Amino acid sequence: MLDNPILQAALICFMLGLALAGLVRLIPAPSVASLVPTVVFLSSYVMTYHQVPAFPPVGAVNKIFYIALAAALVGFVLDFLRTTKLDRALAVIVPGLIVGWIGLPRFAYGDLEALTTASALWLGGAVVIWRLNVVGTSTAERNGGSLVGIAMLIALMVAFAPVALLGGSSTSLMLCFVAVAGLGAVAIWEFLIPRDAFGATSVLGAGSGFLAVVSTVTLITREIDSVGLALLLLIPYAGQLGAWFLPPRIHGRARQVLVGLMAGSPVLAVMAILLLRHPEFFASMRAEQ
Amino acid sequence: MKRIFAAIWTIVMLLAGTVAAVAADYVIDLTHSHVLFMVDHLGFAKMVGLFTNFSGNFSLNPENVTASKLAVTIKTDSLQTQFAPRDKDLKGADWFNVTEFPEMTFVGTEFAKKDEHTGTITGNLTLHGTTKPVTLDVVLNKVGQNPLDKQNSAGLSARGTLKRSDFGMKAFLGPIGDEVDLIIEIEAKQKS
Repeated sequence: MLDNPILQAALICFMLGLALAGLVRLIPAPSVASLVPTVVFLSSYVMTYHQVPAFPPVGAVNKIFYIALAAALVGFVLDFLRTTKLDRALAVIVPGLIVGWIGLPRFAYGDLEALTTASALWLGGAVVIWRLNVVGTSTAERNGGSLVGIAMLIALMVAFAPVALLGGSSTSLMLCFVAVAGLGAVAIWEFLIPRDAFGATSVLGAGSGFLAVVSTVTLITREIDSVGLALLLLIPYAGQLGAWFLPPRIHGRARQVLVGLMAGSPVLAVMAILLLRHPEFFASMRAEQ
Repeated sequence: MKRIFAAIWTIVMLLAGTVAAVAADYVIDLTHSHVLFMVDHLGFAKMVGLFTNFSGNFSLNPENVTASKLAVTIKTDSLQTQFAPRDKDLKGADWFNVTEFPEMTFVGTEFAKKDEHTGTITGNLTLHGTTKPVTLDVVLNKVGQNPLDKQNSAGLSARGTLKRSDFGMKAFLGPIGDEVDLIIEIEAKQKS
C-alpha cells in the first residue's frame, strides 16, 4: 500500500503538517501559526507537481503556486497588522484576480462561455473565501474557530477531488488528497491544543490556492461537472445550518468538532450525485486499475 | 537494338540522378504519416499515444543535407491513447494543456548525414510553452515517384527520446516515466 505515490506524498504531508502545527505552538505569534495551512498547501503542490515552478509562471498549473504564495503574503501582512478592515473587499477582489489570471488565455479570444463560467467561479470563490474568513476567525460559541475553518477546507478539497478526476485532472485529485492529509494533521493539533490562529494568511493562502486549482480545472481543462462543482457551495454553509440544531450546552471543542463534521456533510452529496450522473466513468476508472 | 536500349537506360538513370540531386520541397501527407509517443507506466509496459492532426513541410536536398529544412506543427487536441478518460486527463492543464498550448512545433535547425540513407535532425521542440532542442535519428526510406498517384514523394522514419520534465510536465514522475520515446513515420508529397 505504501508504494502508492499518492499515499506516500500524503504521508509526508501529514508528517509535515504534524511537525509544523506542533512547532508553531511554541511561538507566541498568531500570524506565524496562520501560515501553516498555506505551507501545507504549497508543500502538497510541490509533492504533486515535483517542482517549484519558474517565475513568471507559464500555464495555469504553474500559476497556482504563485497565487497561493502571493495571497498568503497579503494575508500575512494583514495578520501582522492585526487588521480586518480589508476582509470583505479581499473576499471579492482576490477570487476575481485568480479567476481572471487563470482564465486569461480564454478571455483573450472573447470566449463568451469562458466569461460566463468565470463570472460564476468568481461569485462562488468570493462566497468560499468570505465564509472561510467568517468561520475560521470566529469562536466556538459562534460555530466557528480554527478547527472549523480547517474542517471546511478539508471538506472542500475532499469534495472537489472526484470532481477534478471526472474533469480530467487526476493530478488535482492527488493535490487535494495530499493537502487534506496535511490539513488533517493540523486539525489534530487544533483539536488537542486549540490555537485559534486561522487568520487571513490561512484564508487567503490555502483558500486561494484551492480556488486556483478549481479555476484551472474548470477554465483550462474544461471538463467540469457543473452540478458537482455547484454543490461545493453547500460546504461553507452546512456547518452553520447544522449548528442550529445543536443545543447550547454543547460548546467548546465538542461544538467545533460537530460543526466541522456537519460542514463536511455535503461531501457525501457531491459523491452520490457524481456517481449517479457518471456511472460509466467511475466503472471505467475501476476497470483501468 | 541493344545500343538503343542502353542509351535510353543511361538517359533515364541520368535524369533520375538529376531529380535526386535537386532540392525539393515536400508537404506531409497526413493520411500516410504517424506521430506516436511511448512512456513507461509503472515499469510494466509502455503506454502508446498518438496525434492524429499535424501538418508540416520539409525541403530535402540529398546532395546537401545540411541545407535541408523542416517545420512540423502538431495539434495537441488530436491526442489519442485508446482510453477516453486518460485522453481527457492528458489534454488537461496538468499535461499537454491543449487550451493554453493548442499546438506543439518542431523546427529543424541542424541536419547531419550519417550514410546514404540515415542521419540526424536536431530541432527546437516547443511544447507546453517551453522550447528545447531534440535530436531525432532519421532514416530516409525512399525518394521517388509514388506508383499510384504518380507524384514525387519522400518517406522517412524518425526515432528519438525526450524528457517530459524538460518541458514542465512533471506530474506523476516516477510511476509514469520521464523519458518519452518518439516514433515518427512520415510520407510526404513533393510540392508542385
